Amino acid sequence: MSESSVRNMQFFTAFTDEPLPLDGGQLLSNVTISYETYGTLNSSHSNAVLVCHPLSGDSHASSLNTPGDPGWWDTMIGENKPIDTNRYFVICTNVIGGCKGSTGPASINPLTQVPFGLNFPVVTIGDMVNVQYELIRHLGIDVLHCVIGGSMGGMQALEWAIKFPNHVRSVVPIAATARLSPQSLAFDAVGRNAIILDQSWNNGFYYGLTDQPEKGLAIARMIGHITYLSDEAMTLKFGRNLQKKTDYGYDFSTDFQVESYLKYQGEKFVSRFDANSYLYLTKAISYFDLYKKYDGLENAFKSSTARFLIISISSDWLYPSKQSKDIVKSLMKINKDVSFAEIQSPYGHDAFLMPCPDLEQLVTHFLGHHVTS
Amino acid sequence: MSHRKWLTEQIIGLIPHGSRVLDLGCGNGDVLSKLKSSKQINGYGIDCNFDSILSCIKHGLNVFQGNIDEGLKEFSDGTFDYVILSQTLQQVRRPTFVMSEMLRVGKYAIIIFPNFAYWKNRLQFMLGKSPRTPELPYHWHNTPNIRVVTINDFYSMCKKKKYVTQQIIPGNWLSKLLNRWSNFFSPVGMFVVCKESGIKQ
Repeated sequence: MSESSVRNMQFFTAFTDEPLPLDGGQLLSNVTISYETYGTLNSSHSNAVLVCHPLSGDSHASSLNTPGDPGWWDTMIGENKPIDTNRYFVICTNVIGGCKGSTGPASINPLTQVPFGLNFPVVTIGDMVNVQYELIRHLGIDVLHCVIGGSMGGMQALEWAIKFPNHVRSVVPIAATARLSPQSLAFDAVGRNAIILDQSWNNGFYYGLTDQPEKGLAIARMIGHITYLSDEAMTLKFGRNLQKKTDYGYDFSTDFQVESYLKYQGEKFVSRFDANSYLYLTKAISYFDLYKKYDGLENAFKSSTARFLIISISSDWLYPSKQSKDIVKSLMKINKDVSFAEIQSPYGHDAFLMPCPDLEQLVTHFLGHHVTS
Repeated sequence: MSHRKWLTEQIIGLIPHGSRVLDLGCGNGDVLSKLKSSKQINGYGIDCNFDSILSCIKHGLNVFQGNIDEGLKEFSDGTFDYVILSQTLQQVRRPTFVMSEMLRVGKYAIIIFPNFAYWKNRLQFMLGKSPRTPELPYHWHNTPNIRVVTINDFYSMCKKKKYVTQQIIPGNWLSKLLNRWSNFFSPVGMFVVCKESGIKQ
């Protein structure tokens, strides 16, 4: 049985008549977006919540329809959970450029009948959101109750508030930023280099070949994973503990638990992710710059009408709290409805993917306050 | 009527319909929430405590988790009609700076602080104890209060800074009767402060 039938994954193809003009200047036709939904759309179509996934996520946000197959945000989505599926119609899409059902570099190029590879155009967070908008309209939804997401998902939520002010009532960007710091850009660049310098990458045309750029992708994932944790989280989880050893090996095998963990994370990742998608998505994240794109944050949000709840994580050094606060301050300056909370957690950037009572309460109350009819 | 409730009502009474309000140290959002429902104000609360933020979000208020200095410096001149600082002046490190910032971003500042020269406080000092009252509920070792301020002190500071002040006298009959001696009889100082003359009633 295929993954999609188990997971109730659905597909929608947009831009069949007119192509999607991408931020990079190219055109993309017949853009397919994969998605899952949870809960029921009410009669006034006013209870829809769009959940946006982070870099390595997909449309399978919840195990609600598929017990035993965990979703990446089961802590937040489900019956009587913060994004309560008894109350809200929850939609989660795979972003374009991804590799979980939506059009991306591994998709078949209709012109050549072989996978796009590097012929796939570079897409931006804005492009991803434009395709999501088409899906939302296709589902008969005019106004989303909320767009919520963490990290790259939070960037999408911000773009929604800017691009479609009349179609979103509230947005919750978590552990997000309006643009990456040079340090974060650097980590993404190293990850991409690890893939590009893997001989098996073959300039992006490795589909169908025996050799896959697994080493490069695994290293990229390992680097990424370091940035998603924090020094404190690693100390709590591993310390300097040795992996199945009582003393150092005095060789170059795996000594430390933290080494073993990263290796495991890297190996696990290559079986479920496409190396080219990793390149495209980290590029989209790196290009994301609301200051540049809209000539300053205040200008970016001037037409937004959504209520904002911006949440940062105290130990996040990838997209630190200060970057969230800068967004909030710009919104306050232009008199927008905005709240800001900082979650105290030692777990770093990825804390929003773990059980986190403070986050759960914030979202429960924020979503519940402006009740839909 | 509890003291807290009385203060809240006084603040609400001072603020006209539709004002733009900034509440520094907004706590659980009581004042903002009432102002929003009875006076249709809009604005923000600032508090450093997560539980306060959560409570405000429950009430549908706009809040910023952070310290007062940080919250204030972002706003441009004259953004607000009223900036409230209730029971917090005695806890800030740079009170005069905070006040000048309040009067930069707002037209009027509403400032409420526990009056250390209240007779019950004086009495406890005379008996050799650090004062503890409903307005000063802490022990010496766990108090967040770092500034010892009296109504007279506040007056002289405002005079020095050329601020215009209007004192709101607490409602108990004794202090009303003896308002000239509020520094002795009033447990709190409550003031509306502005830079120029012409405080609205």
